[in-house]
Amino acid sequence: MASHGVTRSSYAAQSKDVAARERELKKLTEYHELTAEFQRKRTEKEYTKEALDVTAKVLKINPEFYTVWNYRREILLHTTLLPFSPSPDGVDETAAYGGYEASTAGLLKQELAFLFPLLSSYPKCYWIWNHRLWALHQATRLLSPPFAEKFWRAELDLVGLMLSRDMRNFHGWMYRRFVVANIEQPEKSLVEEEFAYTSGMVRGVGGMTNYSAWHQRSVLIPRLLEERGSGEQERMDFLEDELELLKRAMSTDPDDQSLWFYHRWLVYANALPGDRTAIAPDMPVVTRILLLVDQIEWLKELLESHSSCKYILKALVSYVGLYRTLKQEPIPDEDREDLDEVDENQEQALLKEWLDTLVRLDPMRRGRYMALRKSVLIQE
Amino acid sequence: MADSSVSNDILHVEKHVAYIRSLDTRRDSLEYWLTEHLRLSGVYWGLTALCLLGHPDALPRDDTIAFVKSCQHPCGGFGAHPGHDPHLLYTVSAIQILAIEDALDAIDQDAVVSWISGLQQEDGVFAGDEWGETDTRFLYGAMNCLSLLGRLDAINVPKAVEYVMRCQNHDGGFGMAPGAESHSGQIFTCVGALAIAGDLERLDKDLLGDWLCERQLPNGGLNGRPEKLEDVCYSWWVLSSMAMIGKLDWIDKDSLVKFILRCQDEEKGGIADRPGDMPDVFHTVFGVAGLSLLGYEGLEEVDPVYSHLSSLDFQIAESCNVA
Ligand SMILES: [Zn+2]
Repeated sequence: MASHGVTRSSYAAQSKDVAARERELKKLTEYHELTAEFQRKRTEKEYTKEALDVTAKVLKINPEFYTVWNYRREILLHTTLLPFSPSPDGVDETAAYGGYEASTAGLLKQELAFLFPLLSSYPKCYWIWNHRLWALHQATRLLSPPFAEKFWRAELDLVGLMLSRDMRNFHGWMYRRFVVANIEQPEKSLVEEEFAYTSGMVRGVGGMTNYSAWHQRSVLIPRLLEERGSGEQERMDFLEDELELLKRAMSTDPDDQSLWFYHRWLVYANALPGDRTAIAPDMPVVTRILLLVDQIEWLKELLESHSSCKYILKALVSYVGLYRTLKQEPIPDEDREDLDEVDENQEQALLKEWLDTLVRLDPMRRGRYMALRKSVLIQE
Repeated sequence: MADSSVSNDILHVEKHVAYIRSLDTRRDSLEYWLTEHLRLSGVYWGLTALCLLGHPDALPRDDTIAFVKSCQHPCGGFGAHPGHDPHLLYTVSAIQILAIEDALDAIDQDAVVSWISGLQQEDGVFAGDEWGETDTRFLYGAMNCLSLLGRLDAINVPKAVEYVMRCQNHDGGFGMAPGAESHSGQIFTCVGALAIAGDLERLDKDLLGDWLCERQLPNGGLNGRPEKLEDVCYSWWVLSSMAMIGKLDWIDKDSLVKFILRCQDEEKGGIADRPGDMPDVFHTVFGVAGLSLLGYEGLEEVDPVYSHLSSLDFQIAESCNVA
């Protein structure tokens, strides 16, 4: 019903192939038999090993058949994934629990092993990720905490593997956040490890362009600094390092959107007062202005070697607009001398030139640049 | 490959109508059966496309309503097909179809309302079904349905709005849950939910509009996230979000129209994800809706908020290689 990326020519060639058509009809018959068996067993509320096998067969052919996943969970909940109940005849309860835990863990491992090849073949199927998460929650529900944690820890490795195959799979990233949240405890944070993970990602081959990793970084940083108990100087150093990392990436590939969105966040969140997600939220206004001027000067330099890069121009226009806003804030007299005088006419002329170039380079977004023009140019 | 005698400069209305009508006759193909779990949504996409194309009567109305009714469970929710479990995704499709056919009276609406409102969680978001998966898609779906039924009073709207705002990112976009990366399908659902709640003013429209307009690629098509390929279905989500925040003029409409037209199967009808690919009903409706929003001549007007096009099924878009 929804075909993505199947070309019409390859489809036409395939449908002319008589043998392929015969194979399809045979598969169709098998599939009908299987789904009929599934529907019959479900209606009869059959919760057995045989019924579980039928769900596995259907799901291997069609993992999108969500009702079959529901039935599979019902079967497991009725048959094997039962809570521990001590037997009344006074046998050694600890030993009994040990046996229960080992066998339940074995069953959960089997379930996860069933899912792994499916996830590899269909990495973007919501229902498989869901079912996997459900299985892990069963570990939390049925096993002792240290035992359950082993499952979640192992899952972190798996999701790492999935993300190394497709660094942008947003199911993978979402799932990673779920897994981490389930391992974390009030006194046990994974924020350092997770931040290091994104560092490895953006510094790795092709990682610079990984918007997902930069995004994750922006989510982690405020918490990271909070938990480190970083003071203002440490925060400013951190911001500088982050901008430096980005500078290197942007000089290499200034046409990569991912970097510019991240850069915009770093600049705006830290230049404007009162953003609690900023890296260094308590900088005095003059420091914020100097930081911004620094970025603007660097971008002007970058523009010299990449004169037709629209992202540089757009950032320059926005940041100069931001600079004008910041200068409206009350600045203590003793700080004022740290700021260079700016020739406003010259600045206005530059802005116009950049905006004209933008419209010429990127006529598709003319409307966007006209709006920008209105918001940054001093009324003529 | 492309037939040079038929050009793709115009919309092939009659061919698309014939294509959609033919969909239910392909019962000897494996694909027809492998997509049974989407059937109700498929009907909804086909019907919406036909309405926009000016052929609302091309599917038999009585059969359509009877099929929708056959998918309802005693709890009130709808499955994708008889024998499939209730889920919010298909409940939205069911309500949308009945709204289009002016047949909401054909079902027990109170049951639907109570089933949906029971899915709202403590933090304001909605689960998709009794198994508890939550997502901003479901939140939008619930609000869309209840507003079509005139029963938004049955849920806690302010809480839902607060949840949506927690999903907003530094780039102005929204993800499927708090902390998740911005994604244009999720942006559609979050902006749509705010529109239904009358809370669009809570958005930084310039910031969001900027992220959205950067989705347009040189060939005119739009992608769903930075550094991804263009796709007709993502074109719709980006476009309708831009319409809701009043930024449609931030992209080049003409080149997008041309891109969508190039994705037509000029011989058999239907629209594909991108030029030269196999068409399907999902991309057909999003392509036609996009053209309608862009003011393409001869099409019925689409409403970007309700649109009779809830985009909940972007799990399909997710199976795109490009998603
Ligand atoms: Zn698509």
